Amino acid sequence: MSNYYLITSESYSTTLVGDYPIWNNDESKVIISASIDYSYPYSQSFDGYDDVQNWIWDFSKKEYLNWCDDDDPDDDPYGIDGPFS
Amino acid sequence: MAVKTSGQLSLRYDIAAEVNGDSSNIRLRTLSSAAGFGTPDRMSEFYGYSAVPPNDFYWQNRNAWLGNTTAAPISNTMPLGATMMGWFLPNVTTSKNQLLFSIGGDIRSQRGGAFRATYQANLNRIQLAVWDSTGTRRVRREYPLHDNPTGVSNSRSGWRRDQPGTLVDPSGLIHIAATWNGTANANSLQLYWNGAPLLNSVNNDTSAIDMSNQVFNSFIAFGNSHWQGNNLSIFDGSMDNPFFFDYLVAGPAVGGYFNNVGNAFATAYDGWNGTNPFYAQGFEASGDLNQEVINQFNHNPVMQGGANFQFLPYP
Repeated sequence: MSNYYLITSESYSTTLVGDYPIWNNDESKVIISASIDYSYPYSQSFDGYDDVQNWIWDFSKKEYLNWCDDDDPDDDPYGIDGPFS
Repeated sequence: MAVKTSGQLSLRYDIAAEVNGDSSNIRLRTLSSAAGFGTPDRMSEFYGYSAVPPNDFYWQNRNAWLGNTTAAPISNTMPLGATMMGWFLPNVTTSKNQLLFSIGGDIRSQRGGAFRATYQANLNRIQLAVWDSTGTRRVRREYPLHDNPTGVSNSRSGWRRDQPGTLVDPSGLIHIAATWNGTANANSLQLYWNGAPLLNSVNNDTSAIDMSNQVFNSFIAFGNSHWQGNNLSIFDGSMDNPFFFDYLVAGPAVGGYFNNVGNAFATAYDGWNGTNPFYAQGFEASGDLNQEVINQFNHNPVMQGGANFQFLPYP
């Protein structure tokens, strides 16, 4: 069974524990999916993915407030790594 | 047109006309078998029967996705490329990244050997990308929706509920197809919108490696990437009828799926250049995944992620 934890980015970069990170926009915090015996400090836990969604989703605007995910470190949104054709 | 629901039935003009169009050597057992009816055979079983599979329901989603949890037991690389297609309609008021579909991966948690299509909200583009078996991206092509005839013309607003793009199909959903021919040239990738190829692309990345045995058919995902698990970019909106192919579906056949099949299950279409998809899924009967399914390689995908989704009848 997995659970979700709100932790600091520093903690995440140190422990490298957890999957599917969701970052806040200044990348100071991250929500990870980890096992229920996750043993590192965290500021908040969530019982499941729906709880994470409910916490970061603004129902009135139907958008995520200040959170994002980007799985692709090679992502090149401005096209600087070309080549182009 | 479905067989009438009452009155006298003609084996030839009512039943055979609906089942297979045969006009000679017509046998009730043959027709019953073709329609999926067991014995004993009765003509009354055909009351209301339609050879066209129903497409009465769609999947309205916010945080779930369809994908297999273990690698398909019949798992291979795809030297002939791959094709993914399905029907989408965003339901967000503010555009966000939207994952459409992916195929590949011999390890579920990694993106090695994968082909993915995703909408990038900040640039109003749909990106197609292929990663080699080590997870290094080798081919990429990005299609700005505002520079192509999609109807998503305001790039700042992006792809969202009040700017979903040009709606053609009566279902109100948009047919999107992503094709890859199995090589490492950017031109190996092609995006289709409502059956027509989009021609303007940027960030076209080409590499020189042999991709023919790099991408796998082990995992499929609809509304997400198979390796990303629960995330914020799961497709938020309406979806229906995903098809996955382990070969390049050429342009005329993609157009055929849009024009001839429409937003419907894939059973009958056998375009000029191909066979059927190895995986196709309808969401009839409130999301019964067993009712309309082609599952050639036993992917056996299931609904994953959150619980905020439902299967609704088309209006």
